[in-house]
Amino acid sequence: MDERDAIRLCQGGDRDAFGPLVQRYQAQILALCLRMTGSREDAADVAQQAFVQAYKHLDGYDPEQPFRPWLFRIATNECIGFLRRSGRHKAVSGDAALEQVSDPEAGAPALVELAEDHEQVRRAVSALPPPYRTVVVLYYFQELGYQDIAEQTGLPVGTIGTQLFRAKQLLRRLLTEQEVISGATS
Amino acid sequence: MQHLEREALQLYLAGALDLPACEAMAQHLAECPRCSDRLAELAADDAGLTAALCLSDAERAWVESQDLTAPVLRRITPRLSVPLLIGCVMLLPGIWAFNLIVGLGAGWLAGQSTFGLLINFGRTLGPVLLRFALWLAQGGLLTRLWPLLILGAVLGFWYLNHQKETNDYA
Repeated sequence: MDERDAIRLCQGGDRDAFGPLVQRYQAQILALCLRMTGSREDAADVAQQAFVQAYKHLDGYDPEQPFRPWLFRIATNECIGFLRRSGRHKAVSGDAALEQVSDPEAGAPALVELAEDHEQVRRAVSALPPPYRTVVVLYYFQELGYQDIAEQTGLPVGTIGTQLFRAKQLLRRLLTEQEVISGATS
Repeated sequence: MQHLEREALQLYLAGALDLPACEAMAQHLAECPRCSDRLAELAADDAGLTAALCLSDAERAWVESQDLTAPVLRRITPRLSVPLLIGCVMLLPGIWAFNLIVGLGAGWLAGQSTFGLLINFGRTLGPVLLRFALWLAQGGLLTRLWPLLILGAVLGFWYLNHQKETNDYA
């Protein structure tokens, strides 16, 4: 069934027509939710909720517009809402932490070189406050441009650049601390 | 020489600058080894983060093994379609018309019995039935309760259309 046909059927009240749409996008939505929440269990819940919200708001969707960005906008908002509710950003308080962060010296090691492996980088990303984590995931994982991120999050384009820059500063600090901690314990 | 801020370099790297700013920055970078080194560092950070955030094999396997169709369909309520909405709206005059027909029919029957064989019935229960039938024919309870009926229909429609989803993860 064509995607537009399925959407029109859903808008007409056919719930079962939503099944193929879920099947088509579930892997991508799950991946986004996994990166945003950092947990498989939470990712599955948030992804389900994103699809439920999408179905509920199909009346407001214009079938002439691409469906994927619309769906991802809903999923991103669900992830942000989840992170705010769960309070997982308390690990690092963004503004307070940034006060202690200075620009790295020229010739400083690359951000990822501070980590032992990719898993450590992902944990550091999971410790970022929700606004920073959102732009990091959308930019580096979803590989969206600033304009697309601005559309998905409702933030001005200039703010996206600033948030991304600050997020990288925070990540550098987090990874440096982890390195110090792991160095001290080894 | 005035060096470029890292934040500005990040914008340049992301292609988020307008053309004049981008050209000015490119010119500066061509002349300034320190800023071009910084740009290279930022680019290395970006490449590293992109690689680190890719799904691992285990994560990819998990994502691809999930099927959300059944749980999602269980959690969504059927949408109220336009024909169903029209049906709901037409229900009220339908009820009223049914009331009218029943009232008229009962009234006719009561009138027949009044002037028919059941004289005693006609003297006692007949007029009561006749009055009741006339009352029904004039709209009965609907004349007094229609605001409640409309409110009930609106609330019923709202409930069907916006049934609150359970939020398991809140």
